Amino acid sequence: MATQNPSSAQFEDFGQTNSPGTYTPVTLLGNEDRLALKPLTQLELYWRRFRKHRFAQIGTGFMVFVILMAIAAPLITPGITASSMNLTLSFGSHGPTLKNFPDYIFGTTDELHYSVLALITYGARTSLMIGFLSALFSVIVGTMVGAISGYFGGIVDNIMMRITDIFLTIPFFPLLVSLSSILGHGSGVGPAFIITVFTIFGWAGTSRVIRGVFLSLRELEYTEAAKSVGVNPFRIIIRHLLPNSISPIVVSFTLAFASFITFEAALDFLGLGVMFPPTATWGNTLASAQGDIANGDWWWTFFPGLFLTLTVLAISFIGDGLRDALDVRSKID
Amino acid sequence: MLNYTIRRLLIAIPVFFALTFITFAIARWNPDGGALTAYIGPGHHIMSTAQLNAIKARLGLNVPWFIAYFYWLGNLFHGDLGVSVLTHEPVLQALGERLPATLLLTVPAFVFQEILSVTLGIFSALRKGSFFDELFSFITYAFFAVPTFWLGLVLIIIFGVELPSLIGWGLPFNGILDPRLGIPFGTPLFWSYYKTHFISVTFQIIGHMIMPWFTLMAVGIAGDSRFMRGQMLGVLNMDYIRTARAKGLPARIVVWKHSVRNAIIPIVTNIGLAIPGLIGGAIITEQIFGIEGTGHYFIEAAQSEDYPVVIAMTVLIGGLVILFNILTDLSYGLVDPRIRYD
Repeated sequence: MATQNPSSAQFEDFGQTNSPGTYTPVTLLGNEDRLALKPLTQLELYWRRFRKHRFAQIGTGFMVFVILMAIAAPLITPGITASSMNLTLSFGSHGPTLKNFPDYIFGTTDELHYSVLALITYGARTSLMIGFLSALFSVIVGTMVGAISGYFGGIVDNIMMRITDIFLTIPFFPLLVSLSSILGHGSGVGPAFIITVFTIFGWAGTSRVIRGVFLSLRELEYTEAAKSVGVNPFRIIIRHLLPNSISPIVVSFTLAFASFITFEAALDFLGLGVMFPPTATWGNTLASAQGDIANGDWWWTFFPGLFLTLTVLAISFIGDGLRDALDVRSKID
Repeated sequence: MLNYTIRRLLIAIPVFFALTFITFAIARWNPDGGALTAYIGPGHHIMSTAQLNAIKARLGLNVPWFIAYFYWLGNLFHGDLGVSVLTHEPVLQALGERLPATLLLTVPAFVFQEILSVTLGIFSALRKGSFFDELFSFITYAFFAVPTFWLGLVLIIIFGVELPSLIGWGLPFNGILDPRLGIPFGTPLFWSYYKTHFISVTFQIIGHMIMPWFTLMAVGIAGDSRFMRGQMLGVLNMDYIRTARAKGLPARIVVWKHSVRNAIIPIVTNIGLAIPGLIGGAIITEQIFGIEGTGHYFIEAAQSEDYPVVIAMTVLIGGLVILFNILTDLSYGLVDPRIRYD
């Protein structure tokens, strides 16, 4: 059995590798045991622990599905066009139907006949992009501030943490509403604006967490050792401390991702965020559906909101799974 | 304690002024385009300069914005929150008219929310790992992820639209009173009518408020009851609980006297954090169910670029949030003497 698998690189040391052509591995162990002996890389360990978390697996599956759906939007639907001239459907809104498959599987909007599927798939692009980029930028800023503050301490830490305090104290949602209203002149704002505002007001929480981690990491022996041989502080931060604080960084990112998607949808829903037309999002699709709800067109509200809810849920599951997986203290079993 | 209070105030006061300054500066970013178009529509290009200047003077747009900021700040401390450029109604008066509707929505919802969260949290902690606990975990997880606006809309679809078309009976979902009554909620006329038709109007209000209350509570219950469960589990693992059990106290006393009273402390202090929301209104829930409260007023102003109202509301809600954050932090020390501030 074992000889069929001669390329098991981790056993090379035991084999007689005098000449490359005549490689004969030592076969002291059965195949099963050899697999168990294979040293796992850190990434493989993470993956193993992540796979233990069933909800995280389901969440990952759903997120892959939604991201693929967003990327492949033009392949799935002909695009967001008012197809009121489309003669496949009669006048008025339509519930989920197999006509013109798959464009109308989630029904159409009012007499303008936008396909709800198209609004969802194209809306996923904007909603996910805003959530992802705001979370990414705010976590990057928060990590930088927290890392510098925690590592250097003293006066730097004091000043930076007072600034963080201010940003943590500012009530986010009312300010967001007034900013969008005033700068958007009551007619909505663009994705870039929302990402900027989310980043400016969203980094403080992460920086607090990362600062705490850095405060303990900088006291450890390996940091001491690196310092004593004269390594540049920024190199210590990037090479030694950041990789060891990956768990709180990743968890902060997933939390921010989920909450920014919800905040953005709420802003759109209130008519103060991204406007449709031209740009569809899950939030503004729900806003336009609200006016039609009394007519019994449930699909127009139900499906976009379902995607939003499931996405937020999936991201929090992934976050939970990652927190367990990246925690080096937790054992595989 | 005194030191800590002073330090918190030293941070909070600049934050409050920063909030007023940022909001005001942004609102006056584009003074002519913003306030004037909102005030008289895009037609201001055809007005004479004298007419324009007269309007600018009345709106306080004839002085540089940083001077105007101090005028506005002075008025703020005299209790003058400004006047709407659209309705010419003083903001404080408008808020007073809308506050009853908001309180009707937020206060009962909050009371139910806290009672249910504490009860559910306690029971699922006591039966950790049971079927009830698993079900509870799943439901709270799901409700925590559901955005308020979608939950509200789905409730309207089910109980407001589909149910009536199936069985001919459903829940109303627009406003606080039946529009056929013809009396807006909160007006003097309403109060006099309410005195004579107490029972029927009360039932009408409850019928209209069931869905808004539930929508507002759902997310809060999901968060608070999980929190309560965690607190309770933490306390149940304490040594003094083991001692209490060991010396043979009845389970009832161990749970309700020794555990719950300790676990409930953080929840009680959370009430402080909720008060700004109770007054500031539930922006999204009010929007969905057409309840004309303070949150609705804020969004209406934001959508129509009524900048004095937007600034006033931001500063008011923000100020309350900052104030109650401090009060909550300080109250931890009062309810739990073990906490030391330094």
